[in-house]
Amino acid sequence: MPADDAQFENLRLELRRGSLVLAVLAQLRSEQYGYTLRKTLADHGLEIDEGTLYPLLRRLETQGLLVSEWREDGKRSKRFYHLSASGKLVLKQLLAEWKSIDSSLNGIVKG
Amino acid sequence: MELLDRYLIAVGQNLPKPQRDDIIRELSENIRSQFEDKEVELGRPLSEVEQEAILKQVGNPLLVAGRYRQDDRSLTLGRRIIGPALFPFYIKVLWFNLGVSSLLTTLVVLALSQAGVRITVSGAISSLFWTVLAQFAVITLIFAGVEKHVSRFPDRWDLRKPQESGLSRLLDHAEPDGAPRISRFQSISHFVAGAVFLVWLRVVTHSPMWMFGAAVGAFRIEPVWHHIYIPFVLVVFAGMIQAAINFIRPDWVRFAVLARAVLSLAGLGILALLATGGPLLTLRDAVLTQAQLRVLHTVNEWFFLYVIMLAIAVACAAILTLGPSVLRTLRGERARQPR
Repeated sequence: MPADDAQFENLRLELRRGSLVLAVLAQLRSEQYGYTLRKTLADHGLEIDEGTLYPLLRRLETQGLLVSEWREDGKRSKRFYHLSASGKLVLKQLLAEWKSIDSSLNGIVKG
Repeated sequence: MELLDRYLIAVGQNLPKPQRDDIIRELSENIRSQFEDKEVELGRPLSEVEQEAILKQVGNPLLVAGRYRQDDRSLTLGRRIIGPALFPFYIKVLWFNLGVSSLLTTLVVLALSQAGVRITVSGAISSLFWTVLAQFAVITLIFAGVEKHVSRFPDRWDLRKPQESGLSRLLDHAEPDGAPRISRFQSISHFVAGAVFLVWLRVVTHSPMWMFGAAVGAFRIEPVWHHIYIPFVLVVFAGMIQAAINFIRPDWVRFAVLARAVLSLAGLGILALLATGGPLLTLRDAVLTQAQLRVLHTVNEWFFLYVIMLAIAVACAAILTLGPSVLRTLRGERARQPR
């Protein structure tokens, strides 16, 4: 990969990293397990590695933003995640922040 | 054993024990769901190559486990030298080495000073400092090399080789034809380790303080050390040549197995010479008191025990690492012979 492409890739990943938590929290307003969550995010254009998403879910649960439970689904049991009460609050705050950043950036870029 | 099971074992080996089962269970379910989806899409069971492709997407087991550990500590000197995935292993190895060498140096200094050998505090601290510094530098260098390899080739790992395990398997590179190969990383590691050891040996020859620490003024080595010096250097050098050849020709697996077996035997021979060559050290004073003779006797006994333990370790390592390869090579030969 040429140096400029590599630099762009790093910046792109950095930009996406911050929005990833927001996307995961927003998507988990309705309960899902790891694999279906990844597919849903990908369907919305937000591809994320399994090796990044699954540990992220655990981190968010440790932080109290998600709750999970093992439940039978089809042939096997799966771990389903959904937003906790504090997760809902944090999501609301993050969405407000994101909208504010979006509006500021739009102004700067157009300006 | 299925490829997925091997993958999960590889991830599990690097996870903290309390969360291991839970994480592995969840990861297993997620990956199995992905396999099932792909099978429905293709209308048939997945081949091993297709399963491997999905596992490669999930990521190098070492890095995946590192992300689950939620431990962001790393070693940064201007830029990142050792990342969070390897840092816990680095710290473990560092503490183990520093702990053992500090303990040994302290014990030797205490035993010698107790027996009446004059050792200054600054001399003791200085020898401990250099030992610690050298070990820190070498261990950091090796882990920095591993980190560079993993970051540069994150998808170069292979789970289809049951004979290798742990870190070396994850750092190995997969060959499309599935033929056995000697990992180039392993060859570089052997070459570097041999070079570091030869430099250390050269330094010790000129400044024995690196070996005898604070007691350097008191001891003189016996001629048996001079007799084994050249053979010892030759064995290490031959090991470096073997590593260099296998770096260029990683497919020369039988050559590597044979060379390592011969070198291990040669190493055992040198240790046998050392163990049977009489006293290893003497004191510099021409006329020795009874107390000094007792110290000399004890120190030589320690060295003798150390040599014997080293010989056992070399033999065990050779049997454990080379034994299965030799058996496989012999079985392979028999299978190829016409009936």
